[in-house]
Amino acid sequence: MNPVKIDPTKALDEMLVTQRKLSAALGTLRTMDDVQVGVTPKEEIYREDKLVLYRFKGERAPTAKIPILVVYALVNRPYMVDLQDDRSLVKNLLAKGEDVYIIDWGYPDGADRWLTLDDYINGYIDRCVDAVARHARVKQINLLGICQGGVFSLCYASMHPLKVKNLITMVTMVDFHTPGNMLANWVRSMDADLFVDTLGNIPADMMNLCYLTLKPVRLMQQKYLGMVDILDDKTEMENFLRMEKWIFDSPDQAGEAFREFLKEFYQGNKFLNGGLKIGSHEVHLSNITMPVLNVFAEQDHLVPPAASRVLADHIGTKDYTQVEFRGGHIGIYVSSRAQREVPTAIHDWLAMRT
Amino acid sequence: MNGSLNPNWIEQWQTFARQSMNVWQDMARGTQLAAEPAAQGNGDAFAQWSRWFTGGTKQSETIDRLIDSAKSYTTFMQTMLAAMTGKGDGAMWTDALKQAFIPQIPGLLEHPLAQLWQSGKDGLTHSLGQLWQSGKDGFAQSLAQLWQTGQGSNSTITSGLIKTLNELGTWRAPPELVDIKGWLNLPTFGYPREHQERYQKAAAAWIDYQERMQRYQALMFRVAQRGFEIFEGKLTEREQPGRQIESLRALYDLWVDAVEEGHAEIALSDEFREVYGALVDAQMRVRAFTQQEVERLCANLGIPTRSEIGSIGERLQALRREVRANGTGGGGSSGDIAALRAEIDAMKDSLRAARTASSPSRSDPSGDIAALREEIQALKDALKSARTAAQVAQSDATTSRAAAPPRAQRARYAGAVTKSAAPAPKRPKKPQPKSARPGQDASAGSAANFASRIARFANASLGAAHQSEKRSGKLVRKKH
Repeated sequence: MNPVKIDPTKALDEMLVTQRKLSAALGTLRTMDDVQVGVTPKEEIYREDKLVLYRFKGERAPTAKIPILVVYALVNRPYMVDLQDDRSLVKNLLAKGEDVYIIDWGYPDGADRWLTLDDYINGYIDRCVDAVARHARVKQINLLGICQGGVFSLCYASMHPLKVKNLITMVTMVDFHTPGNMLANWVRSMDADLFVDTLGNIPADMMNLCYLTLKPVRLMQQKYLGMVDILDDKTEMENFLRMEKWIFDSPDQAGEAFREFLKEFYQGNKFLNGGLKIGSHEVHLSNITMPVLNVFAEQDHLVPPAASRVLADHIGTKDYTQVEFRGGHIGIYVSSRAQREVPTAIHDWLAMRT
Repeated sequence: MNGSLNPNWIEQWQTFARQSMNVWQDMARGTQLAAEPAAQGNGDAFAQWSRWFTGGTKQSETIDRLIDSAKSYTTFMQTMLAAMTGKGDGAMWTDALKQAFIPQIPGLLEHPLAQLWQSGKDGLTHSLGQLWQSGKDGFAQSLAQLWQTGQGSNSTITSGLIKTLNELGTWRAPPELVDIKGWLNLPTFGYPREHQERYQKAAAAWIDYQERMQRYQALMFRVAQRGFEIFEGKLTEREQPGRQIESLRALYDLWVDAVEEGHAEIALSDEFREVYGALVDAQMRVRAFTQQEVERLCANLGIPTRSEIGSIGERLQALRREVRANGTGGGGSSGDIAALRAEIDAMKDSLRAARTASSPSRSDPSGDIAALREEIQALKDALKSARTAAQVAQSDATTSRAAAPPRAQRARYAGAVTKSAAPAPKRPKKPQPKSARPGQDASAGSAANFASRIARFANASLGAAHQSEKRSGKLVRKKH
C-alpha cells in the first residue's frame, strides 16, 4: 500500500491555508516592534569592566536568609532566566521568597581578548561572590550555575568551598566525551591554538552558526514553518521573537578563555581525566563537599543528560540530588512545565538546607 | 531585499498569490504537469515577490528566514502535488521526493565557517579578491611598487608575486591541484626569497582549504543520501492502513526527522570529527596568512596592526592581574592593609556574636550599651588607682633622693612604690657584665629591677580591674 495517502484537493487546500497564513504573517511581522526581554526590576550591586552584578527586586522582601547568585554562560545573554513575565525562573524564585542576584557578563570586545578562565572564575566570579555576601551580610552564598556557568560554578566551588553554602548546577556538562555529544565531537580534533591565535575573540555569528548546524534542517527551516502556524497570534509571535532575539543576541567570546575552555574541557575532559588547573589552583570535583542539586534536561541536544548525570560519581559531597526535567536545553527555562517544576524544585531543596 | 519599504507589497503579494493559485489549480487538474517543472513555479515567484516585500522593518531578519523556509516548503508542496496528479507509481513518488528534498540539503548543511567565509553581499572570498586588487593599481601592484622603490627592481619575481596574490584572491579550485601544489613547493631564491616563499605557502594553504572543503562537502552529500534512505524506511513503516501520511506537512515533517537522523549519524562519527577539524584548521591557516600580509602592508605604511594592539592588551591584562594580586594579599602595603581589615572584621564578628549570645534581646541594645559603659568605667577606675599609686611613690622618692641621676632615681622610686604597695621578696643580685662601667653598675641593676616590678604591678592592677570589669558586667546584665 502507498504510504502517502494525500488527497490532491486537500493538499491544495493545505497550500491555500499556508499561503493565507503567510500573507497574514508577513503583515503581522511588519507591524511588530522590537520585543522586550528581562522583565523583573533589578538594581546594580557591583560593576567591573563590562560585568555588572544585579540583585532582582521581587514584589515582596525575600524570606530566604542565604542569597542565590546566578552564574550564566558566556555564550548567551543571561536574560533567558527572566525572558518575559510568564516565563521567568527568576520571578518564580522571588515569589517563593528567594533572594536572587545575577552576573551579566556584558559583550566582550578586543580589550577582553586576554581574559583567562582564571580571570573569570577566580577573579570576576570570586569578587561577585564577595559582593553578594557583603550586600546580604552573610558569609556564604548559594551558587546557581547554568550551562557553561555551571562548569564555572563547579570549578569555583572546588577552589573556594568555604564561600559556597549550596551549589546548584543546571544543564551543566561534566563529561564532555559522552557518545551523543555532537558539539564535542566536532571540536575535539581542532587545533584550538591556531583557531584562537587567528581569530582572537571568537565571533558570535560563528558560534551561532555552529549551534544551528547541529540540527540544520530543524533549526534553520522547520522552525520557521512552525512559526507560520502562530503568525496570526500576536502574543505567540512576540513569544517566538523573544526566543529568536535571545538565540541570536550572542556576545563574542574572549579568546584566551575560549582557548582554555576548548582545550581543558571539550578536548581534555579534565573534570573526569584530572589535571585541571585554573590559574594556580588545582580543580577536583572531589573538593566539592557542600550540598549539590544537579538539574538537567532529558532532551538536551547541547548537554546530553549522560554528560551531566555523571557528576554524581565524581563529586565529593554526600548530599547530592539530581532532577531530570522532561524537556530540552531551552525548554528548561521557558516551557510552562518548567515554570511549575524548576523553581519549586530549587526552592524546596534549598529550604531543607538553610 | 531592497533597503526601503514598498507600500504596494500587499498588492504584490495578492498578485503573486493569485498567480500561484492558478499554477497549482492547473496542476491539480493535471493540465500543466508535464510542461511546468516544479522549481520554476512558486520558488521563482517567491524570489520575485520577496524583492517587493522589502526590508527595513524591526523584524526583517526573521522575515528573511521565514521567506527562505517558505520558499523551500512551497517548492516541496508543488513537487508533491505534481506527483499526486500523475499516475502515482512508486518510481514517480521516489523521484518526486528526491526532486523536492535533496536540492535543499547542501545549503542547509554547509559548514558554518564556510557560510561566514561567504557571508555578505559577495562573500569574504570575493572581498579578499577585491582587497588584493583594490586601489588604482591594486594592492598587489602597490606592494610590488613599494618593493621596487625601496629595495630595487626584480620585475620577474614581482610579477610572479602579483600573479600569486591575485590568484589568492580570486582562485576557484582548479582541477590540476596536484600540479599547482608541486609548483608551490619549489624552492625560492634571491633577495626577496622570504616573501615569495610566504606567498607560495599562502597559496598552498588556500589549495589545502579547498581540498578539505571538498571532503566536507562529500560527507554532506552522504548525509543527504543517508537521510533519504532513512526517509524511505520511514515511509515503508507507514504502508499499513491507519499509519499512512495524509498531509503535505506530515510528509515534510517526516522528511525533516529523517534528514536529522542521517545527519546525526554521520556528524557523530570519527570520520566527521577528523574532516571537520581539518577544515577548520585549513581555513584558519588561510586567514592567518591573509592577516599577516595585511599587517605587513600596514607596517610599511605606519598603520598600527591588530598584533600590536593585541600585544599591548596582553601586557595590560598581565599588569592588571599583578596589581590585583598585590591588592588582595599578594604582598606590599595594600596586602597588609587588606589583611588587617580582614582581622578587624573577624574581631568585630566575634564581638557581635558574643553580644548576641549574651544579650537578652537583639532588638534592645540599651543593655549592651550599659554593660559597655560599666566596663569602661571599671577600666578607668583601675587606671586611676594605678596612676595615684605611681604619683605617691614618685612624691616619696623626690623628697628622699632629689640629687640622684634620672635612671637610678626611677629605679629607686620603683623600689619604694613596690615596697609601699606590697613587700617584694628579695632577689639574688644578678652578676654584672664585665664590660659595664663601674659607675653604672648599681643604677643599671636598679633600673632593670624597676622595670620588672612596674610590669608586675601593672599586671596586678589590670588583673584586678579585669576581675572588677567582669563582676560589674555580670551585675549589669543581671539587672536587665
